[in-house]
Amino acid sequence: MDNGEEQLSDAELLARHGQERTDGSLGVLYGRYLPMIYGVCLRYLRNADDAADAVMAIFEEVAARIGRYEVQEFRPWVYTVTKNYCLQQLRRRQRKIPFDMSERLGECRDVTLWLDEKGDGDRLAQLEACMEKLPEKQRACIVDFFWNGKSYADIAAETRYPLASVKSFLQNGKRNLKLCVEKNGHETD
Amino acid sequence: MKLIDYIFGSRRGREANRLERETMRDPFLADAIEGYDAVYGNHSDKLAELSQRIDARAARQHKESGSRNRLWFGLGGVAAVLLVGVAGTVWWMERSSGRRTAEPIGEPLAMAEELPAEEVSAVALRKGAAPAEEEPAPRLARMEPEEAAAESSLRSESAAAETAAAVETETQSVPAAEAEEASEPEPIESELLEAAAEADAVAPDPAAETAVATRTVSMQAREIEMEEAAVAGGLRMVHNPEFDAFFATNHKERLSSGEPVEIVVEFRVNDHGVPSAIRILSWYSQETSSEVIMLLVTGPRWEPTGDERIRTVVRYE
Repeated sequence: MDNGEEQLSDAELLARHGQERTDGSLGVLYGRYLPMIYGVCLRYLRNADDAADAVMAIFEEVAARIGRYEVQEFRPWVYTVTKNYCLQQLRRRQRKIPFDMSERLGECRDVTLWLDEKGDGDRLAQLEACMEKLPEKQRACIVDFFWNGKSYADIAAETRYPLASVKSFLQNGKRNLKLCVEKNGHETD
Repeated sequence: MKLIDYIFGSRRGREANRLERETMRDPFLADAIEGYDAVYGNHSDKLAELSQRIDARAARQHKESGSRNRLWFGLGGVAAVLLVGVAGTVWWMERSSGRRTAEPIGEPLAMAEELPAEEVSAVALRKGAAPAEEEPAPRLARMEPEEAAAESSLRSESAAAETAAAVETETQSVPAAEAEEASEPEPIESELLEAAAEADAVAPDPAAETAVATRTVSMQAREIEMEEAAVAGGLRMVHNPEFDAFFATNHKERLSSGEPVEIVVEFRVNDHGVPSAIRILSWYSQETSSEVIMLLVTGPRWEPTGDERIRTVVRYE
């Protein structure tokens, strides 16, 4: 499908889909997010074949529903459709539903932002003070990841921590930092 | 860095770090990466296969979404097509019968090679036939009221066969190789003559007999013209022994008459060797036509002809 559609933005492809009689533009748009959709299906369904079937079924669902709703942003919308489809499948099979990634990321969104941007002077001072209070492994992982720009794999290779532990140290470190900053903030208030 | 690169192993360095930081803000990306990390397998092949399937699916028409509006639009479209089809058929029937009535009576009679001389002359005498140079006049206009009634009765009795025959003989032509055999009456004509005979049996009206004879003669004249056109068009007559054998063993329709019937078919052969755009030139019945088309499409391959149309004769024996 090389008719310039690859160059179009999501919004342009959505608009074109509304005008044409085939799902060509929708196919290009869906294909753009195919690796992510398949990955999400893998995460929820835990089986490659089930995930592949789900990807095709979700495409049919998207093709059927997209004309009925005014979709402003395709990316978050298709994520929601994908997640809901997988959850529905899990409920049907009465299987355990994994934690919601959005909620988990939402817990530490502020800290991630502060660490990413290092914030203003006051916030930075607060962060540095709290970093001193973190357990060594958590502090080392946060410094390497956010301030030294190392990947999980780099950190695991350097520290010889298992990869899963690196992720865990980072997650726990962020949560502790958040608690610490909030506590200090209340104290200073 | 692209997600695909990361998934398939490029997980070191600042680019990987950038993507990992993104996952901390983007649950969609985080879910996806966790999915790949959680399930072992050849995901790259799976993704390639899925991509192909999505492309193939996306190329199809919009799927029915289950929306009632779309369903009604579809039904409306079908109804409109049917209406147009019916109107077209009626128009075509009217047109073909109109053409027939507009023909001069003298000219077809002159071409009546098939009819016995006594019958032709009887017709001419009954009608007080005008010479060939007489100015053409609509046939119905020249009929007496009882003659027109007989004509109308006859037409209603043999409407289906007549319509098909008229369509076929007016729009199609007979192959050059068949031209020599044209002296033998086609099944359709025999049907017409039978129908005419029946009509006569019911209402033995000399006027109706005249009308039937005139029309039969005029159809024969038209067929002769069409045959000449076919010769001029130079359509190839193709014989495929494999198909003949296949047809002989697979056709299920049995003809009520028990007489062998030849059906002339015109078509193109696509690049896969399958006949397409098939037209039945000598119509016998709806069932035989459908069967011939079905067996042509499902039977042995033919030599591709590109855009050229060819003809063949299918024999019911």
